[in-house]
Amino acid sequence: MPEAPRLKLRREQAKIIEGYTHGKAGVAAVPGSGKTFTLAHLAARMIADRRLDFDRDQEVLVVTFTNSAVNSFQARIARILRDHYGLLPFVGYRVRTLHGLAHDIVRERPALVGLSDDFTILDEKSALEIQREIVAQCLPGWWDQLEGYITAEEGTNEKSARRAFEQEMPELVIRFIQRAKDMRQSPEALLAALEPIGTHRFDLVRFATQVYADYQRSLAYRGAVDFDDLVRLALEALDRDEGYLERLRARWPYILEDEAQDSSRLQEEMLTKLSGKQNWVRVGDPNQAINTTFTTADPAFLLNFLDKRKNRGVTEYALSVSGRSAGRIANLANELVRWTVEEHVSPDLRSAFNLRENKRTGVRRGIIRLTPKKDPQPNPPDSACFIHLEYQPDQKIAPEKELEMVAVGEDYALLGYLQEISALPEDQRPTIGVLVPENSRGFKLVELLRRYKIPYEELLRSTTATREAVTILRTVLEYLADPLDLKALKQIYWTLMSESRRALVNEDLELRQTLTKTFGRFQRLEDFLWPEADQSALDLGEIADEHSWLVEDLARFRQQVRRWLEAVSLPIDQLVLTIGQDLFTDLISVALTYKIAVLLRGMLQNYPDWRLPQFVEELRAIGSNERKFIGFDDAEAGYEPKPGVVTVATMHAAKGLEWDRVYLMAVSNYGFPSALPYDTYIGERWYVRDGLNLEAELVAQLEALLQKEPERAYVEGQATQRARIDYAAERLRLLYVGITRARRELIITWNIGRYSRDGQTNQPALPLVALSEYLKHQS
Amino acid sequence: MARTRFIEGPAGTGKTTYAIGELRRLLDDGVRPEQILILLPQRSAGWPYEHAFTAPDWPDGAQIDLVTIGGLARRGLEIFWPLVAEKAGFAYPEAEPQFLNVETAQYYMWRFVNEAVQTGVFDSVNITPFRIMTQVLDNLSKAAINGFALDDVTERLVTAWGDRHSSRPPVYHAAQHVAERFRAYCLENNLLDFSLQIDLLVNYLLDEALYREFFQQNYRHLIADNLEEHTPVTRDVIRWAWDDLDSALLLYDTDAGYRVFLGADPGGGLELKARCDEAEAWEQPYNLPPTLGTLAHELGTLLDADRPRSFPAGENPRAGFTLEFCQFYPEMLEWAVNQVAALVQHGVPPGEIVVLAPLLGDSLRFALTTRLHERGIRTVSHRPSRAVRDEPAARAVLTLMALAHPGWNVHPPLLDVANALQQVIEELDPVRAWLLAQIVYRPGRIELGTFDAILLAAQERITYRAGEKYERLRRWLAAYQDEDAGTMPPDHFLSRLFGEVLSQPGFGFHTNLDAGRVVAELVESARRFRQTLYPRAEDVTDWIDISREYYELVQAGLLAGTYVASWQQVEQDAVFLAPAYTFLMRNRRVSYQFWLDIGSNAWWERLEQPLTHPYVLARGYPHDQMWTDEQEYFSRRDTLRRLMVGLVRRCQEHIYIGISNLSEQGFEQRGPLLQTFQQIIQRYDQLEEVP
Repeated sequence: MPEAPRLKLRREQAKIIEGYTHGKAGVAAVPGSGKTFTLAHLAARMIADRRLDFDRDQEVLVVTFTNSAVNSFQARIARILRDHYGLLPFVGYRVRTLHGLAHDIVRERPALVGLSDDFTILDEKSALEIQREIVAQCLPGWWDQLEGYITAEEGTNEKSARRAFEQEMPELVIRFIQRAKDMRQSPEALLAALEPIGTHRFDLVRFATQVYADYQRSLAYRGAVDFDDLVRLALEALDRDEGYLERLRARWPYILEDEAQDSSRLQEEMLTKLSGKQNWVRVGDPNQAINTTFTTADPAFLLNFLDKRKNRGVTEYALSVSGRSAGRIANLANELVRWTVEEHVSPDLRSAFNLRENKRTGVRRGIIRLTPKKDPQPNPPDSACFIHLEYQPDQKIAPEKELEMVAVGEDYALLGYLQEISALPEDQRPTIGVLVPENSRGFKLVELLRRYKIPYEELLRSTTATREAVTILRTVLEYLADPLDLKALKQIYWTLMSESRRALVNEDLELRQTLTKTFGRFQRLEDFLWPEADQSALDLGEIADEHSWLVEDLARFRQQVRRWLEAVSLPIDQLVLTIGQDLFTDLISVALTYKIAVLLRGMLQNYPDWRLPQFVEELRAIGSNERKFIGFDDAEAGYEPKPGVVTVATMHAAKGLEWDRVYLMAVSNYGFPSALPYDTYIGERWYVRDGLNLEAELVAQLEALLQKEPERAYVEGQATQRARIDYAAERLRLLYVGITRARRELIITWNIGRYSRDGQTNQPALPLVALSEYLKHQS
Repeated sequence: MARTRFIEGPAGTGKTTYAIGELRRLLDDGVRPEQILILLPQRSAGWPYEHAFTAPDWPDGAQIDLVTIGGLARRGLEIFWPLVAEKAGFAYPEAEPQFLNVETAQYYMWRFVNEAVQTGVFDSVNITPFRIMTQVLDNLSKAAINGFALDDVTERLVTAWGDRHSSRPPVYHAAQHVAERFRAYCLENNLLDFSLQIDLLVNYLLDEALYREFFQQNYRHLIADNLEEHTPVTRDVIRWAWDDLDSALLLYDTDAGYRVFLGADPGGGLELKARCDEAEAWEQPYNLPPTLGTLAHELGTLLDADRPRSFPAGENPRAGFTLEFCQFYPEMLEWAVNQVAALVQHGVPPGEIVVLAPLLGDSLRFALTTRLHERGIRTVSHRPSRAVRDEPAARAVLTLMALAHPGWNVHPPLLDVANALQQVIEELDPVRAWLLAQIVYRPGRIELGTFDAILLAAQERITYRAGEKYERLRRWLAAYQDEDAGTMPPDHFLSRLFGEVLSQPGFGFHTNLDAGRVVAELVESARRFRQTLYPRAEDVTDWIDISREYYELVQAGLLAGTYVASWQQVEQDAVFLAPAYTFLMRNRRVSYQFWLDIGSNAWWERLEQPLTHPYVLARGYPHDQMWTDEQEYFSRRDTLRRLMVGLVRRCQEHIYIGISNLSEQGFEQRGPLLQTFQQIIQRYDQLEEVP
């Protein structure tokens, strides 16, 4: 066996990496304790220790939550195998998201679940379009049964209430279908359950089920499945063929699960099946479970797994030491957990966090412990730590004011801070993150940053990297749609130019003019791209002597464009792939190109008359952020904050990242409610009667249907209440995630909001007040 | 010499060469060429024979028919139809039958499938009606070539499915019901699809004394090549003819059996050995370097769970292949192209190089072709995964067809017209084609504008040479509209457009042989459409609507869905780009092979379909046995083993193997072949370390 070089491991990490050999094991880790690091080393060690039988194609299976995490996990294991063990980097393991794993399983035996080998996975946008269409067709026929949900409150405009209801219904049904699939309920099964129910109390779920049934038929007709089907079908395949399940169990004798706090009902079911309850290691942080609202993700799966009473034979390891944040910031995060668990005014929310310490059993959860001396990655010193919570009793901060305070205010604003650090060498400047609860707030901030020329990158809906690649592809397609457009051709050249060349051109006026003139000579574009034999198209005269690269560059560019033009007769997906193959080598962009290709192919199937101009429009919508580019997520692990550049991100997107200085904005009771009477909730729409959360009620009706006595199991309004508690709990954890992103400096602000309801403006979030008190007390 | 002989051995041992020698001997002995029957599993396997027939010293005029079982059935039925029609239950035995090909069979099957889909009987499977249709047709064929009744097919599928889920058996029954309706329709309307042709041959013709007499008189000598790729019914026919033959030579490739998915029965083929007077086993392939011999052995061993893993005595296989590990797909392509270029530069004829991938998509083919062309290397490619109608050349011709019929109110988008012009006019590059299309074409306008009416400056840009060709094309289309539109069936239109314009010097298809083949296929599809659906041309007064029907069926994916037939391809000294199986079925050897993307799962995945099953619907499969995952797994391994060993044995110099960690789609690849090579590397690297 190759001897591993000595790693600098913390004691807790070593206990797992060197101590785990087999069986069920779990970790409830704290932020910054090296979960992924530990798990990647564990995987590599298993491979290096030859615990796998390559003759039987065995692999370590690693399951994680996002595509980007897959990429970084893979790279990490490969690096460890190569650098630490001197082994081939790409054999012996497989890293997948739940959907990726499901795809592998279905792909290998499609006929088991009624699919052909050429089945297509409908991209989410096409799926939404189909569902929208079906809802629009069905809704008029159901109006009599559904109008009872509209509020009859005085002063409500009936027409606009109905319009709003109709507009939001597709979204509601989409979530319902997702949930039904999560619960592995077919439309037929639900229709059968609805059959004996006579009352109108279940009309909402009846309607949604009808749409679900039509939607599934429409998928079947297309020979397609959607992303949610994939997991359901994979489970079905394993249920249907015991032999297949056994074979997969033999292939993956060890299963490692990262981000286990986001495990869902289906993931739990899948991994339980695949592991045969044998060698399964689950690592997560239940206090960072921020994907639970209206999904079946639940930290309870991890916690139940760790519970020895419910799960005999499990070993719990601790990862409680974190060197990420300065002590004072770590303490503040610990205080948020303690305050919530012990003092929160809404007792229901006290279970939002998991906090346990048992010295006898060694269980330590929910408390961040600081690193011991000589730790390879010690906590930043408190002397360099700065914490500011923008809270004073009776203070009212208007939304615009908050933006200004953060961007260009006097005390802790970005503008001043960037000036302060500008004296430092570029690579030594701190990293800065501004985290907002919702995208819309981020967009506003970005506007302001742009106005003040503050350097920034954003990780809002679709990420900057995504948009760059989309922009490049769009620019190329835009030209191909009109090959006589010189401006569009120039645009490609400019877009593809490397940053250094671009800087060169920008700085050198003469060169810029030369380039303009060079392109100017090709008003007749064919003279550049396909010159007649007697024309020497690239004779650039003296310029060529001065910038020899230019001739070569233009010749290469010409060759590329010619290749793309000749590829125009290919189907759109293949055209995009071809262009992508020429332009991108980085992992994200290659994957992205494929996603775009699939998306556009889906469009072509639905709209066979579409040609390049329509596809360009579609890409424009993706690139300009009008539409979230669903299904591709490079927001997390792939992103490296740049020193001296402000990252604007949602708190969700910030998970897994860290910055030297972090701003948390809009920490008011709107974004972080505490289940108090004056709180308002995003899920409760103005046009729905009795403040019902329709989505929660619909899911509750669905769950009731699966009970013995559905009519007794469903009580209207209870689900709305429960949803409030769940949402408030998740937002507390989101705040915790936000705080624990900060290494040295943390600033939290809030605002009163744009609209007041019954004269009430937003309040500072209750935890903000509590933490403020705590800090005061500390000082 | 023995009357009947059986020769078995792996690829490259010279079996076919021997057969050609025997053929020659028979001819030299005075046997008439038409008395020799060469039975092939599929036409493309006849390449070595066709090649031999063109040799300068081949006896003049000695063209021997290469026949598949389908061809044999059809010939018999064309002559003896009146003998069997009534017995087989056809409604109009006195009338001529219509032979259906794949497309026309699909055309008739389509309505029954659609009707069934509407009733919801196929709701529990997520497959398109088109795929349901192809699978029902497949089941009909499988029934015929194995000699099963339709009931047997369903019973076998239901048994093989076992108790996995109650939703599937009703779907099998629904598929059978569709098949029965189609069969009944064929009987009522004298239509003969492939399954009925085989059925009639086996169940009726072979029992007719007249047919036997005819056969005896015609065929005295039999050569059955690639016996392992033949169907059980072919074997039955051979048995039936056996005693009357003057000689029979049966050739069997021991490691092949690539057509199992299409009904091949390698095990059954071997049974015929016992009937032969003489049987030989040839082991040593010609010209297989020892390193590759070891590689074939290693692959054969590692992919076969039953064989013990020991080191062979042969040479270290590492020198026989080059393994290149790339992170990205395009990186791998670039590497392969560079290697090909280097080989060609060192004097290797391009025809001695093949580039193989498990699947060859448009994008891959395009990327390889353009990259190789840039280095001045010719390529030829055959890819059965793309339908004729999806070929750019076919799309160009179809666009011109729409332009020739303004009355249809089908207005192709400008981009399609520009593409079409660029393809069919040799001088036009994409930019000039676009310029021209923009000026002369307005969707909705009755006809294309003339070149003369264009501004002089634009004429100059487009070039007069291209303009002149455009004018010829335009005038041809205009003349057709004025004079011939109603009188010309669609195949005549396509064929004349090609013959009179597109294939002429200066037009894009003049030197583009690929495009020529594509158009020929399109013409053929139109001809079959016309002959099957409108056999009595004299009854048709106006062909415009019929041409339109054809055009729409093509657009809907029901016609022109077959592939450009590979055996028709002229052998060129060009690098051959193909899916691995296609190369194997061409029955030839080359000096250098490139295997792309061996990390891909596609190397071992079979085409899995929910309504049919190649293994269960095989004569040798027990009718009362459930199909297990273990069987699935081992059958895949076995198929992969045959494929890989077959490829190695068809290589005479060196194999270049490209691995791309990330697939075209950006996903990491972990296919089983990757692991196998990992094992080979580990085994032989260790061997080298220990002296």
